[in-house]
Amino acid sequence: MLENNNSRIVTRMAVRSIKSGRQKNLIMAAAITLSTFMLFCILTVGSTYFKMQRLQNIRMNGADYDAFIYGGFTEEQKEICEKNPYIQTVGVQGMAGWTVSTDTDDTLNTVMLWSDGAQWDVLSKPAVIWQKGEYPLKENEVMATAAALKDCGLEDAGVGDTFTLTYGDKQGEHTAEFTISGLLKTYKNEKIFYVSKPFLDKSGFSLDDYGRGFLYMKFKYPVVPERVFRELENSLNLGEQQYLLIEPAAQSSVQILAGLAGLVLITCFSAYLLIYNILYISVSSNVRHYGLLQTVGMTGRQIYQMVLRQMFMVGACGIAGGILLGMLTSFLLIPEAVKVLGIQKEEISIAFHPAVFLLSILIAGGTIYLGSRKPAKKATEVSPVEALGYRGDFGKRNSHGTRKGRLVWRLAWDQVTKDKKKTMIVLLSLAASLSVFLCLTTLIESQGPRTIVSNYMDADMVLINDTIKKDDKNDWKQLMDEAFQVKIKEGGRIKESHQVLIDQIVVPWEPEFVDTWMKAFYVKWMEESYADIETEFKQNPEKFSSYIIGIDEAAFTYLNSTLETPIDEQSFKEGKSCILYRDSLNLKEADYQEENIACYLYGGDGESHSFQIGGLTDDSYYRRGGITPTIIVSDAYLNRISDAPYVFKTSIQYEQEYDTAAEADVKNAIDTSAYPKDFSYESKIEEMKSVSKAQGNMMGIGIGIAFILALIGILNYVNTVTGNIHNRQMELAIMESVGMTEKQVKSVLIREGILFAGGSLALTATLGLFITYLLYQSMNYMQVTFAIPVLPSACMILFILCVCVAVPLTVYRVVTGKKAIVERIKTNE
Amino acid sequence: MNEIVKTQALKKYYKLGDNTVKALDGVDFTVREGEFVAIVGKSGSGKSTLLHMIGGLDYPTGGKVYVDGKQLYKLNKEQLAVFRRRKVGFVFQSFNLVPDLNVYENVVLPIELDGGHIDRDFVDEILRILKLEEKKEALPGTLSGGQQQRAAIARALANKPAILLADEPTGNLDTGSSHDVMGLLKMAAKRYHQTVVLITHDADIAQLADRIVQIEDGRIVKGSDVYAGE
Repeated sequence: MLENNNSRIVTRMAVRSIKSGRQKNLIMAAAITLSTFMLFCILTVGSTYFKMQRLQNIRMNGADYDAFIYGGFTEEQKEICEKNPYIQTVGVQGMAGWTVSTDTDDTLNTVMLWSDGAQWDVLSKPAVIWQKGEYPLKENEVMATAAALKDCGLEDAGVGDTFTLTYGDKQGEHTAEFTISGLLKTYKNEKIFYVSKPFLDKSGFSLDDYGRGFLYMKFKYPVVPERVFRELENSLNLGEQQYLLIEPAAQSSVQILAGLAGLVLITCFSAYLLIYNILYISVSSNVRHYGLLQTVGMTGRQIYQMVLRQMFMVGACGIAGGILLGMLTSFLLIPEAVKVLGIQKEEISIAFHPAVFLLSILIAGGTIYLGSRKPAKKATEVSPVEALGYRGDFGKRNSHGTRKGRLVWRLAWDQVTKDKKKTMIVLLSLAASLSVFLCLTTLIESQGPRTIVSNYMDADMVLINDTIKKDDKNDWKQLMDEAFQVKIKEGGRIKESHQVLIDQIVVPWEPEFVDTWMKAFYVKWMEESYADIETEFKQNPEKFSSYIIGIDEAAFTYLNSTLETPIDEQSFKEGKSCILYRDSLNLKEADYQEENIACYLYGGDGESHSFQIGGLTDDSYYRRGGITPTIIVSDAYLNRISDAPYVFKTSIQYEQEYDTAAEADVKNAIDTSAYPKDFSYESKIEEMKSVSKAQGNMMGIGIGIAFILALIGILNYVNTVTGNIHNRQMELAIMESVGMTEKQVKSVLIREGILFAGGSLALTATLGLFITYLLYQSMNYMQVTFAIPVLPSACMILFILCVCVAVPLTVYRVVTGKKAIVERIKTNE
Repeated sequence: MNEIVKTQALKKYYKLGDNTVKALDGVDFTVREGEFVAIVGKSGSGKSTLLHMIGGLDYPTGGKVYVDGKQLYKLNKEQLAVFRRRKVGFVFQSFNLVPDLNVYENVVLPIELDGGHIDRDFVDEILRILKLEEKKEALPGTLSGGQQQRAAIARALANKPAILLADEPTGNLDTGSSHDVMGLLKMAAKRYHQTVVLITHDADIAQLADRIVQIEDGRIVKGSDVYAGE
């Protein structure tokens, strides 16, 4: 056969076909635009979201690091880290001392740290909100965080101001005048005085001292395999008191990446289904037209090429439009929309990567090709006569048995099951979107400031008596006495409060438990060995004093529930048994449960009190920091043996969680007390604000992704239903002609909607939930319990039901218009 | 015999660009109970429009249509649909069977839509008479034209309607099938005492009717109310 150049005519036909079917092609181009737009938005918004999440981690950690060595480090270990090919930056931080008092406050909690250049310039700065002045270079200079200044009662001090500070270091306590060389505010709101290298050198602390030197590491790549951490740990030859701590997000980076890839895959799949479905419906409805072309002599190959060219032109326009729209939305509208919605007020920085463009074009282009290939082939395969008689795909069944059941349900079921492939595409697309929505809302909820805060702290506010931290019991003050407790409740907004009582005790040496404890304690926490002080301890146990803590019934009930083996309540109440604070020592509860511990009050009459050890707790809420064990007993018993135990802490629960008025009541009680500066507190509201600030606009972006994905599935459904009802116009008109009322038609359509909604929800509840759980766990480096957010899920179910029902009804209304039945039958004949 | 269908000054005008097409232009037409009437006319003469007006499938521009004493276009959409399924049986040229329902389901569709009890013996009898017993479970797409039209007739008869309206029922069939279908239609109408109004442009087919009504340019020019008897 002779080759003839028919490329021009084929292209011309394709152009003509686009022009003649302008409306249809416009719809198709719009659909491709929308799909590409969504793909682009998801990739852009997605990468922004994860960038913001990383930023959150940096802000919450106070620095940009992936791992650090705790417990001091040697120069050799530092070198190993610097030479490690996977590590990009190694920063050093040294504990140089702690604050004791200023002219205005003598219960300070600010630490004095030194950071080397890499640590300060590279790792710490990303977590700084603002900085004035410079990092200190001289011995008497400090750079203070805003929180540290407040802690020291120096809120109004500025750069260049001087102040007198009493501080402690290895040599003891000193008082000196310091100049503020710089000020800064961090997202973490830590209380830190950054000091100079000369200051650190003079403090007597060495970076290899336990708890004094910290070596921070940032890896070159965001994804670090577990193997790299293991190899690094082995190469470091860590000592007994040294630990390589890996930032949870870095440790889970591979899982997070897998989760992210899964998310992108589902999204792409969803977009693919949308494009494929649109084209399939469109090309199928054109089969008669292709048949007509065959009758005038167009070959199958020419038709095939014409369809592909037509798709190429429509697709190119659609993709270009989608990318343009995506850029506008991503860079202009999304930040604006988020601001208007009031989700976040701060500036949204959209992460942009050229790969996003490329990927969007590739996926959209690929799906257009795949989507048009099969239907176009189908058009070329049918004979001209068949094509002219083609009326859409009615499935491949030849016959089926006569079914039972109500007619409307049967008709609806028929429609949904008629083209199983198309139905599956819609169901999968809807389910994919719903699943991603479910997954994202679950993740967002688990990352929500309130959820995170609730996981860390049960009480709305915890008041701490800072004077208790003083070593000399004579400096202790009874800050939270009976009158204070009454005062905080005056506003009627406090539901309950629980006091933790404290007194100082002496635990004398005995060869069993106390001896074991001291050995473990010295290995874990002290520089010298137990052997060095053993004799001293035996002779003068009061030099190794500890504390007895009294807790109320509610606190006991909670604490008891956390023990491996709960203890008898009555025995605890009566002071026969106690719980010990484990202090991170390697002691197993079961090994000591039958043993006793004895103590007497420090400075008391020497009367000995003995308790059976009921259990060991790791709850640092009861930590005060003695050398010998901290003994937790019932408050009733402590009140019996001690004349005046002090209130160490008060945990408060408001009538309504996050009630700012209740918090104001408590703060007012503190401010009007005799020693307001001796209080410190942990507030759930403030913690939430701080987490919320650190999270930046993560929530807004998460909501954006969920919204766009939900839209994809719904669009796919709208598209399918529109095509379906268009194809069924005649069928519906026939049924109406034989007496089906409009109400009955609508009943069928509503049931079809319900079946689609039910099917997609069932898929989401099974397969979707399973995938959501896997994705969630892969990203859940904060170990937040998996919980499906009830309200968003309920809204999702309601929304999908409404959409699934409303769409066919609306399309039916639009398609039928005011046309008479006979007109509709004729139009479709 | 009673008048079962009556139209008075029935008009149906369409707008076609700037022109008004008078599909029906003041038609007065009567059909008596049990009559078999054939309406003949050229293409575009208005015969199908008249049939659609009688069947409540389209709305007139003016005039009245009475079926079994009821003025049709005073009924609302819902009542009109109920009227169609209880009083009228349609047979279309292009069969208009619901493609997803098998023959039996298509036949009993009007009964089911009415929520009525399906008289299986009666439906089986119709299917037997129309030679569709073997095709009960077949989908319309798998049947020949003649079979599809017989199924359409069966559907039209299933609800025992008072009137059968057939719009060129043999238009898509070959000669053999056409005579088959006409014979069955006539026999069924007689057996179940139904009135038949049939549209055709085939003179041979029209000759099978009791009365022939000729329509031209939207007006009846011959046989508007002459009852020929049996």
